[in-house]
Amino acid sequence: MSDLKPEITFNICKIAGFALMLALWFYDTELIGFFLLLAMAILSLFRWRFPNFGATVLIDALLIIALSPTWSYAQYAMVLVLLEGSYRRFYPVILTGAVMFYVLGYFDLTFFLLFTLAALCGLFLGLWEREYKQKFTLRDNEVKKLYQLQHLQSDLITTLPQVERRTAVAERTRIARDIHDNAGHEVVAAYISLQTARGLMDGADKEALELYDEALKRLDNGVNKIRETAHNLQTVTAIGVESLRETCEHFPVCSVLFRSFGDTTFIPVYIWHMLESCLNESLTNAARHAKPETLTVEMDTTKHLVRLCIENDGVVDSESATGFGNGLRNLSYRATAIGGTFSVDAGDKFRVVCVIPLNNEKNETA
Amino acid sequence: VTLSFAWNCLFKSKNSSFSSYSAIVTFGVLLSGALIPLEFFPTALQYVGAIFPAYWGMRAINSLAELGTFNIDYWVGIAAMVLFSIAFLLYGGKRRMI
Repeated sequence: MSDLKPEITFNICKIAGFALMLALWFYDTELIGFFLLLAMAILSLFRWRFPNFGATVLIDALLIIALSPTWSYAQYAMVLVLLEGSYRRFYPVILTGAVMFYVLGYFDLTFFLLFTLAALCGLFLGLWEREYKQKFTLRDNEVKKLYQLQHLQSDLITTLPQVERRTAVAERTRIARDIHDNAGHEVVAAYISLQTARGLMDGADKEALELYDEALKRLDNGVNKIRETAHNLQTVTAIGVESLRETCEHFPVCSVLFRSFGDTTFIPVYIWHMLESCLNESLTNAARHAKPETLTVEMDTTKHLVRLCIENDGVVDSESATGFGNGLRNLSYRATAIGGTFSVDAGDKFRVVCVIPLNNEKNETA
Repeated sequence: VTLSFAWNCLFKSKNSSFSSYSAIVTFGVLLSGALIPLEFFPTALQYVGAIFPAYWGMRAINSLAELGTFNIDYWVGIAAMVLFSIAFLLYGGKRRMI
């Protein structure tokens, strides 16, 4: 019985009611009575098939009132009408019960009790169904949230190794740059000074000069190795703003105008990854849902924030205009998680704007 | 046709639908008076067949045979069958066989 649903209970009540009415018809086999029941069955099936037409119970009521003088049991059918009218929240039909008494010409307590009982049964069944539907809606919303969280989780699980890899690449690039720009230059400067000093040492001891030349040679080898190591440490793949530029240049659907303003060197890796995800998602959405002729990507970097704006002039379809899909929603969550904002504007042009604050040490010390 | 349309919607498998359909049709035809005249039935059973369309079909045919013209009884039978068809279509139109 735990699977008993309000609609099924109501249908059982209705079928039982029709069975009883049919039994009454066997007592008084007036032809019009059978047609009344048949018409009521059709209207009930119509309301069952199209629940929005609950007001059609009035037709049932009018049929009953019109035919009750002809068929002696017609007024009993009003029980079914009151049951369904209350169940479908079409309360004006209750008034037809009162009209029924007027047609009968007298107040009958049995009918009054029957009608009241039917109306109350319909009312409670209707309330039960509303509660049932509310619970289902609640459950569906929870399931939707769970699904979104699962999607976000899988997205983050995919993102984590990418961020790790990019962090490693960025660190390698920084080490290569430091070796090349600082240590490398100092050693080369020392080597050049020593070479210059060699010209001033012509009168020195021969053995000392041999040792000096040997040291210079080893230093030369060291300089070459440092240069080679710094070169090998440099990454082949583009990172940072170059990565965004490369993505825009390789977009196959239309031409993408990429512009970057400001110093991007101090943007942390995790923000770069966020910006890249944002750009990729926007370009993918533009390719799938719009037919853009041109796409504009603008990146503004200031001391305190970075702003990425992707704009396309394509047709905005209903799916894009109605709200976030999973991809955009996840990006919004991620942007919020790092203190930024992510917004979508589906006006004349479809625009995605991501603003992320920069709280790095350089800014704090500045 | 509409009866079978609605009947098939009651069942999930074709086999159970077909096997029970023949039984219900036979029962309906028997109570309609097509096989045995209704006059031979007990009074209580004479009108039970009215819940089947076959009863109204037989009623129309019998009235046509008796009077030889399209009389009111004939049209009543036809109207009942049309109403049954509408009811069966409404029922069968919502559910479909899985």
